Amino acid sequence: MSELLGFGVLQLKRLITAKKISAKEVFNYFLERIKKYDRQINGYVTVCNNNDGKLPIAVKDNFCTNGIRTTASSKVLDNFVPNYNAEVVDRLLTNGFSIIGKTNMDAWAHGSSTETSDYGATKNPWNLSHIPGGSSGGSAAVVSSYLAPAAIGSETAGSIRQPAGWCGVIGFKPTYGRVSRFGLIAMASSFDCPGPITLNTEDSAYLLSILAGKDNKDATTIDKPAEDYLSKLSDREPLTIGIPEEYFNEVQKETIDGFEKTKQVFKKLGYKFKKIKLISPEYAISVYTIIQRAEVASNLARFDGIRFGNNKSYFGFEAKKRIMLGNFVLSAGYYSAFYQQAQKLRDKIKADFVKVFHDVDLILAPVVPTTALKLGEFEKYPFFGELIDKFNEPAAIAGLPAVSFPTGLDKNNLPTSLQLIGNYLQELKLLQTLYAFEQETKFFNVIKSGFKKWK
Amino acid sequence: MDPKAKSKKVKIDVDYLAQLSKLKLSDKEKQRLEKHLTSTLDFVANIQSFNFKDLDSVNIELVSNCMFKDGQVNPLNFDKKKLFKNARSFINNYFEVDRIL
Repeated sequence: MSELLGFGVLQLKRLITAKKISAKEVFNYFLERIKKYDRQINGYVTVCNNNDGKLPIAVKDNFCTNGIRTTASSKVLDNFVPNYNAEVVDRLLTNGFSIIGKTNMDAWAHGSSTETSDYGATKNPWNLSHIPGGSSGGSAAVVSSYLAPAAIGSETAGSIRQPAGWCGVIGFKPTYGRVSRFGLIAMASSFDCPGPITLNTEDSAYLLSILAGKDNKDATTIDKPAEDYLSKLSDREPLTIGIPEEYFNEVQKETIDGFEKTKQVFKKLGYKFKKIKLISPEYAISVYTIIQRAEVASNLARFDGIRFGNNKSYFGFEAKKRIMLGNFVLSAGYYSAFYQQAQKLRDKIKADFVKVFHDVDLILAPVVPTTALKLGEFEKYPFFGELIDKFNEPAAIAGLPAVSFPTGLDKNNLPTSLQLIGNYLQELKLLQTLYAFEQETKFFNVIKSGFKKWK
Repeated sequence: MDPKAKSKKVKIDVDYLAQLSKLKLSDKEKQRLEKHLTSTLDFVANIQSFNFKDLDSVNIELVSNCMFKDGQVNPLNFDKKKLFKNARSFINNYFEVDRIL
């Protein structure tokens, strides 16, 4: 069975179709690996042992799963078992998947390290004294260590791209509204976006084809049919990639080296590059922090212990902090100076991107200024998560699609990464470009060397 | 525009905010929260230094072009006089309503 190591969802599916292995055996293979390694990584909050002969997939613990405990990694929802599935989960189940487990995350998705989880921090599979990033840290870590062939995460601003970047896998954040939020425990509703974390581009395209599309239960989903991303993956036209200078300040040397290397590959593939100017990401930190806190204050008000879960006394420090700041920026006297100003600036950031996408097709930028930090670093700063995600926040504020991917390793053997950002609904362009890059480089063998550590 | 420009310090009342948020806090939590909230607000106050006039022209396109739906967005040509005919009160083309809080 060890020859299965590193097989993606579609590769496993092909083996099953060719009757070389049964889905039941595949599921058991992952259960065995979870039993063997997850004690060290702590990627799962709940493991589902009910092997029903379908392809396993891991799902972040903020997606409601019928009959399976859903905690959002908070003790407030310690014993909450939903009686319905999130739309994302329903679509996976009807397409031949079975949930192998619910992955760890920052409690309520509040954080970028998975250390705020009430079920203990997830460790980075590349180095257990480092964090995997977050909030979808559990999803990224289980894919990186091959405790699942793929996972579903959710992103408010960087929560898919950043942990995928720090764990050396692929994290895809679609256009806001491309994938339904129905049944996703809300963090900030005007940003939240589910997306896949995978080992290869094919799997991202395949999973996105399943997840994307209009859902009548979520009024913010886009009323346009989803494309068949998988069948068009190898079609590609020469594109122009924009380089925003503002995104390269205070970035670790090895990430810049990865960028130069990546740029050369794209040039060889026929892509053109153009320097572009965007509003400073420093403003995006403020806009995101203010609007997100306001929406958190509103969304968490429902967890009063009456309808479901435990009462507010179970909220952790981070949740309390966010609720209070949210109420502050919405309160009389401060509303116009903070919340209204942030909403105005959000419009400007969107318009800024729309303008730039007249000149370029895609944008290439770092995901994070550094590689994965050590456990405990986030604790030292009041809103370090927002600072570390400053290159992810602008696209999230604008609701644009983006994908992060590995570009190499730093001197501590931790993955470096970059992201491609696309215009609204240009998921296919992103996937085609990434696929071409993957065919040429195999992501410099980063993904492969990640799971090889967990034989 | 300097995104790192310092704005004036914001004073926060943790007890009042806890009351607004319906949260019970220990003294230790209050102290820690005051420190964290103050430093976060000091940072995010930089949005007040943003000069919107520099970017006014780029907004037009968002209104006239909706990429999420097929078809065209029609400009809204309201007759303001007709619109405010039954309004109890209005100021400069805005409806005036009672304060909620």
